[in-house]
Amino acid sequence: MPIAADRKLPGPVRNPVLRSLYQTAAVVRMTLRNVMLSKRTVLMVLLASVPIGIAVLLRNVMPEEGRRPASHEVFTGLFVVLYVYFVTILTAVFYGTSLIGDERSDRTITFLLIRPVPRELLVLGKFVAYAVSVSVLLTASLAVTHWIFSGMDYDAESFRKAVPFLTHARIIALAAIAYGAVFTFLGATFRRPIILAFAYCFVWESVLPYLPVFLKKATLMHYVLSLIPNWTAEGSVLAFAAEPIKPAQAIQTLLWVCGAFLVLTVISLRTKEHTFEKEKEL
Amino acid sequence: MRPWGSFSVHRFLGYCPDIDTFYRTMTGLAFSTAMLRLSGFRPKAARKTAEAALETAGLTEQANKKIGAYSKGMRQRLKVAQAIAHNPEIIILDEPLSGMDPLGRKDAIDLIRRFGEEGRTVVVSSHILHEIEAMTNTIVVMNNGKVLAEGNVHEVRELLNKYPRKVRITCDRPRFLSGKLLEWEDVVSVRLEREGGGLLIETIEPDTFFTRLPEVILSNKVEVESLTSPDDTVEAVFKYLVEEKRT
Repeated sequence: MPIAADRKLPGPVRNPVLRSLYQTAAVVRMTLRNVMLSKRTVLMVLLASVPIGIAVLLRNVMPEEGRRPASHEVFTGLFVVLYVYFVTILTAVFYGTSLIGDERSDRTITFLLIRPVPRELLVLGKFVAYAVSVSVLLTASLAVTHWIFSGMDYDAESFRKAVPFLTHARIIALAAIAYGAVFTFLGATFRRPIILAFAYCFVWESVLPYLPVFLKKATLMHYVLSLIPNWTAEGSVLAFAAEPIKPAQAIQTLLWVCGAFLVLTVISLRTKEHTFEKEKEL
Repeated sequence: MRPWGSFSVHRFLGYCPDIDTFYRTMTGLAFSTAMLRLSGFRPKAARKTAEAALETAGLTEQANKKIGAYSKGMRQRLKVAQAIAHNPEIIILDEPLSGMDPLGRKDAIDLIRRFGEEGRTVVVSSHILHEIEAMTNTIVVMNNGKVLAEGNVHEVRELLNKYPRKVRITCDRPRFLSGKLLEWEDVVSVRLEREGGGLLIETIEPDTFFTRLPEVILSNKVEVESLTSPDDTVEAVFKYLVEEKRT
């Protein structure tokens, strides 16, 4: 191999704070790039298009004005069932578990772990990239759905007031972040995180609401639903999930959960020895 | 400084893993640049340094190709490039020659020797053991995480005197020479090879054997074509040591 001339080459940034910023930015950039180019993203875009397709369908099949339920009521129902229970959770499952899990299964995590990047920054950078990409995807989908619904009413302004877009965008972003942190931890720690993630969503989160009140609070969904304005589950199939708490408390809890699971992810990355041969044997 | 879990240590460390997985949609240059940015380089500095590392690894022409289109040897060079790009003091190379063509192997061996000459600590792990001998005489033989032996390959071999040393001689009169050698007490066995006039001798006192051998050859006018010691490779040493450990 020809040796590159013994030229004076630049070194890493000396200032530790600035260096950490550059390192985090590098992790975010790499992760965003990998997320954008993954086949999973095509699936997620299709998934996020489902509510849009249903909104278009509803717009065409809904009866004339005056004989149909108010658009904001239909939108809220669709928001809870499709966005909160379906799209956001599935997006969080697929992206969250793969955030570190894919790097582990592909073994590319080796290249990250041999760099002088504190594990905290690795997790932070990856999670920021996840939060940005998922928020953009879900918010874009929600914006289109919201626009379609606002066109159904003669008085679009009253619809926008009843169903403020930014509030709803914030809810799914918060839900995606909280669920995403849980699934990122699963991906960083367990070999088959997607199975555990589905078990968490469709067993834990589905069964607990039927149990006593104090157990309902052990689900993230309880806090997410508490954020939805002018929405009550009474009379709906989701009645078991009632008893909302104050939005501020719900936001606080979701952020705490997010933080706690990110810390657990860091601990997992710090302490776990990645022995690929053994994993292969299992 | 804690060696385990201390990320600052990684600044001085270049590691070429034996895994053959990459971010395949990235180009070699993008990958090397990203690795340097993860090490805390500014974007422009990272690119400039990555270009130099790829040049050192002989990948300049393929720098802008996607890694997915690289051959095994090119991927191997890329791993070496990312390991050396940040100018580390300690370089750990795990099976660095795997998948390389003969020319690539020679280049890589030259590069590794050069790093050593520059005063860096280079640790090479390999199961293609004879290639290590082309890089260094100093070896550490490990099995299941335990050091079996360390030092000069010939010194390590000396530790194993209880194993007969193998010597191969090819000559014009193998049968005659074998008869002569079997008279010596230190010669445990002599095996005639079917083709090529070869003799495979096992001796328990190699020093005595090699002192007496020239005299026998010259006095009996035996024409010797070659004299080698198959045991003198790291591979043989490793095999003996592992066997010794098992028994």
